[in-house]
Amino acid sequence: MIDREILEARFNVYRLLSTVYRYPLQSEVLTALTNFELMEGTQSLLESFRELKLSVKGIKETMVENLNIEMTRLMEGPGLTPAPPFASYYLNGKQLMGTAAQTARQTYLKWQVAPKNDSIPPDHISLELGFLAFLAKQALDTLDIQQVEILHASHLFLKEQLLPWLVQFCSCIASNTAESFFTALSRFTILCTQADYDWLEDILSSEKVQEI
Amino acid sequence: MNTPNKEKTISRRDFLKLSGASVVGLAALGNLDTGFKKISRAESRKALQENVKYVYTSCVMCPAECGLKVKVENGIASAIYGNVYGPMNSNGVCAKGASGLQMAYNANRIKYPMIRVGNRGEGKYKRVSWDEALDYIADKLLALKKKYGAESVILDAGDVTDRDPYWYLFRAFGTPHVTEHGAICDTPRRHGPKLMFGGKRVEPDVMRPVLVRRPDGSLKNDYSYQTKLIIYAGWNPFTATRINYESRGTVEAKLAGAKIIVIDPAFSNTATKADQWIPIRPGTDPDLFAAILRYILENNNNDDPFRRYIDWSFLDYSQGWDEFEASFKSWWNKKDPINGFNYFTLDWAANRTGITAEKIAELAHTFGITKPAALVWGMNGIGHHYNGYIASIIGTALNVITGNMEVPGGAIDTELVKSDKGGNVKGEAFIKNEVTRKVNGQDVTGKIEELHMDYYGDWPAAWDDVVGDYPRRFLEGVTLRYGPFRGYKYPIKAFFIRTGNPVITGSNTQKWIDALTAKDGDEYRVELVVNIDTPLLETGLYADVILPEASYLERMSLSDIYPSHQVIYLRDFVIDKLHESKTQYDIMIALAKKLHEKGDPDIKPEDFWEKFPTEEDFWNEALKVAPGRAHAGEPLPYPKYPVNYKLIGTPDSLESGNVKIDDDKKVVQGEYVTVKWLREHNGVAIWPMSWHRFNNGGVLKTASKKVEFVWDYEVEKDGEKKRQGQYSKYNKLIEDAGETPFAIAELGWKEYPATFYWFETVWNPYTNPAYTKYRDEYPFQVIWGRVHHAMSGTQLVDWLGRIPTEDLWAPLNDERVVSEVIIGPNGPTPSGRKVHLAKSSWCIGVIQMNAADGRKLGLKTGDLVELETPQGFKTRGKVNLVETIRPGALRMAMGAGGRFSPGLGLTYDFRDETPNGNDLTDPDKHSPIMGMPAYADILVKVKKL
Repeated sequence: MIDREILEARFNVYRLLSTVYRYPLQSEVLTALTNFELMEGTQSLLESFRELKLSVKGIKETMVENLNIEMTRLMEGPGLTPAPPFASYYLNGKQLMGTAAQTARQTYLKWQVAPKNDSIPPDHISLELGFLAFLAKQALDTLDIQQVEILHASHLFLKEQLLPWLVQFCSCIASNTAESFFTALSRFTILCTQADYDWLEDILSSEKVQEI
Repeated sequence: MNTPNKEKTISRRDFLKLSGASVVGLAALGNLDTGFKKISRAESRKALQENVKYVYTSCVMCPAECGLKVKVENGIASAIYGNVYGPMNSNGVCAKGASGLQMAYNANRIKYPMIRVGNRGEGKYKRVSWDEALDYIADKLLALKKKYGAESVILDAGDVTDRDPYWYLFRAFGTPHVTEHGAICDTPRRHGPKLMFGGKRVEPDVMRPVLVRRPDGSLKNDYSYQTKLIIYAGWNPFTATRINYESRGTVEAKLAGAKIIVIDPAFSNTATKADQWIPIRPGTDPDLFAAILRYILENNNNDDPFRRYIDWSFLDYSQGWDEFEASFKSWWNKKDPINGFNYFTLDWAANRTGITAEKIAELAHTFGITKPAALVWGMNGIGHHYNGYIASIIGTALNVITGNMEVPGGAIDTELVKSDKGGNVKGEAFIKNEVTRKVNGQDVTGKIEELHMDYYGDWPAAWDDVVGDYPRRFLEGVTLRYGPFRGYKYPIKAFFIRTGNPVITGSNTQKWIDALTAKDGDEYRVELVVNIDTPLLETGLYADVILPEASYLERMSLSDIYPSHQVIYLRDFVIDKLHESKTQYDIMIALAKKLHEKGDPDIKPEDFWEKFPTEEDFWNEALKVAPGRAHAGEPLPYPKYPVNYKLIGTPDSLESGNVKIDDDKKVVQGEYVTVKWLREHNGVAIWPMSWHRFNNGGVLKTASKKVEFVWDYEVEKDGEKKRQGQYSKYNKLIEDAGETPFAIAELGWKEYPATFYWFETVWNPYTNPAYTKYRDEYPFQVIWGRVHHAMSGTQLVDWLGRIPTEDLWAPLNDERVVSEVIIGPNGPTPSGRKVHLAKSSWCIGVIQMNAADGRKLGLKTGDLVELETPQGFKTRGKVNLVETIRPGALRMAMGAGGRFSPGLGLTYDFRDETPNGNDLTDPDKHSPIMGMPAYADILVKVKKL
């Protein structure tokens, strides 16, 4: 039996990250972030999460406004931005709606889900993280064989869809901002998704899962 | 896979556990969703099985607006082809069109509404919702309207023609100032056809196929070419935009026996197809045309078939020729103050143009004796010169008197024969409304249109507005000089710029920047600047609000093409709108609703969302006037209908007789063309071609329904004297006010001349005595060319940056590791991301120079030089030493250099070594009738850097 707490944590982390990358940042979400605790994890993961929380401690509306301005500059535009938040940009020659976007869309449809906001390309960072949150919720709500199938899907999606561009995207954020929230967010995003990927690799190759 | 170093000590139980440690945290968790919704199995299956579909639409990568067929796979546009059913491009698509996906799917496109947070020019914004952006705009507009009047607001709909929703909205708002790119495109070039036909553009009859009525009554596509000669003067259809069919048609006509002559200082792409290239001195096309006309008038012999240049049948459908000829001949005995020759003689023209007298005589004779022929002139040539009107007038006259207008294989004024569109949705009815203003303490009532800053201000004859002179009015305000509101003054307080980039293309760049950043105290003088576009161009950097307009693949409208008969295309939705972009219709309705909600009495639901509940309703209204031309010519398009009646309706309803004929209004009314009809007919409506459409009035739009050689005259009608002619209205304004517009006063005129006139261009030391003193120190004349970009708006498209063009856009980039630059809190800031560009792998805008000139200056190709004008304006760029331009001339591409918007990709990275011609343009010299910037009247000296 896979630890339910971990499954729940996965769901929470992914939906938190998906929401944070979905413009605009809102003070309720950032305040809530400061109230979360990271119970276990690697040293670097714990540190990065601490930094992230610290960066928004005592958040006020003016700070949220400034973060949104910075987020606009980093990711939203207009014109050239340091960190376009689309897989196709990094994987398909700096264009949007490349094969990475098509693959993401196909994957969502196979799982019978569609983005609530269908006007942004399907390979936007918030959507890819949101899809992992959806799969994490599915894993939480099912058992046995179906659960394993869902965890396989998560593993595959991380391996082939998100991780191939995530590091470059997060590096672009980190190297183009002096805002500690974004440097911490980019670091946490990488470490967190990598940790999940490692955990999935581990769990999917374990004897117990193989028995299932 | 690119992953960071892993810490391999994780066990399955050591993965992070995240818990909300408080009630607040738990509650907040509940607010976080995945961003996804469940869909049914049927929905997902349908979406997954989505077939490849093809959508017919119309391109916008340049104003040629060719018909396209776009392949869409799973909701994503994947390939662009030409529309085989559209005669403008007949299945072909050029480099610009083929690269359209790189515009629609460009990561640098404007995606969301933005509000400026730094100073204008810094490029610092925050993303906002549409609601917030429109609130900002509407609040500001209403405050400005209350304080200064709606006339203080300008909408410039820029370089893309599907602008009707904006014009409709802003006219309803109450401003007369709605304009578009034509104002800074080539207005002198259009002047002759406008004066003489009520038209605009003379083009050769080479659009094939044309749908023609056969003697047996059937309609058939005609692929034959009758043209025997085309002369292109300062026109380059093989690289220029707008008249796409001229490139194919010129080649086909040549294969069918036509001779092609190109008159151009540079050996353009068109010249490569020519039988003769005549490298004329810049700015002397009027001189050449005048010499040709004199030669023809002096040497015409009706009895000698080898000298029978003039086809006197033109007198049957024209008036005023005697006066025109007399005025033209009145110059013949005057001596040129520079060269001492009599005006318009061969020797006079040879001295001015740099073409030998023998060659000019041969050219005149060839044009006179070869029929059918077309003399065609262009934007970069005649259109960009201070006195370009004169070439346009003489060129039009030459086509008319030689019997070449409207004959098969001759010349066609495409404005007169293209399909009409727009109708009520242009919003013209709104500006007929009356308003009252205080003028010198008195209440004065007049129509909104009579508040126009140009037509009733400094430029009464500028029927395309005077965008190039906007900076002066932004700084100084407007004084009306004519009409009922004479003496009224008002400031310009809001500037909306949509799909245009006047900071780079609208005359002197620095003057535009100064005007947009001028302050009164802490406030910008122009208090509101709004940019609506898909790419971020330089003008957008000075905007307070940026609105993302849907790309051409995401919106609907109608093409604005210039075929040789009535054809119209639908621009259709190909893909869903990306990001938060909106179509022009969406923006019109959304802003109208905001204005209405906030109490604007001029914006009424019955004019907007109640009248046009859907976007299709709007464009169906625009189509109600199609094709809207007189039923004229030979062969008659529909023999069963009366001649000269206006035709309205679909091709099939007109063909089948499913019409109503109104003899009072002289209209043949078929079923209206609609969006649905166009979709069912491959996106195109085509009506039959005919020629000789000037006969019996036909398609002519002059008051007399004749070709007019006199433009201010009196007629007696029903016992009343009436003044007519294209200049008559403006002269009446001048006479009533007793004041001459300053620009023509500088020429020594009191009012616009009634017939032929002559004046010199500016900054030309070979023709204008005022500038001879500069000849030695500033030995180079600068002209402009085109590259495979749409002026300034497509530079962000990768493919187009790799295609060399005509020695103007050349792979002369150095090897560079390009540090990408973004707009940071402190302005342009290196992003840290680096791209390696190999030497000569990317094209940059360069300065085309004759190789001999370069050798004299000790230059070699690739050297960086600085160009400086007598006024001290400078720009820099690399020289490209070639044989393809005449000595003494330099050529640059408009919009190809000095580009400082970071939204433009690699062109931005080379901004420091690419030339911007508008760094050099004289900010105070505008052509005296239409106010067009004198783009190609530039003198420079060259210094190696």
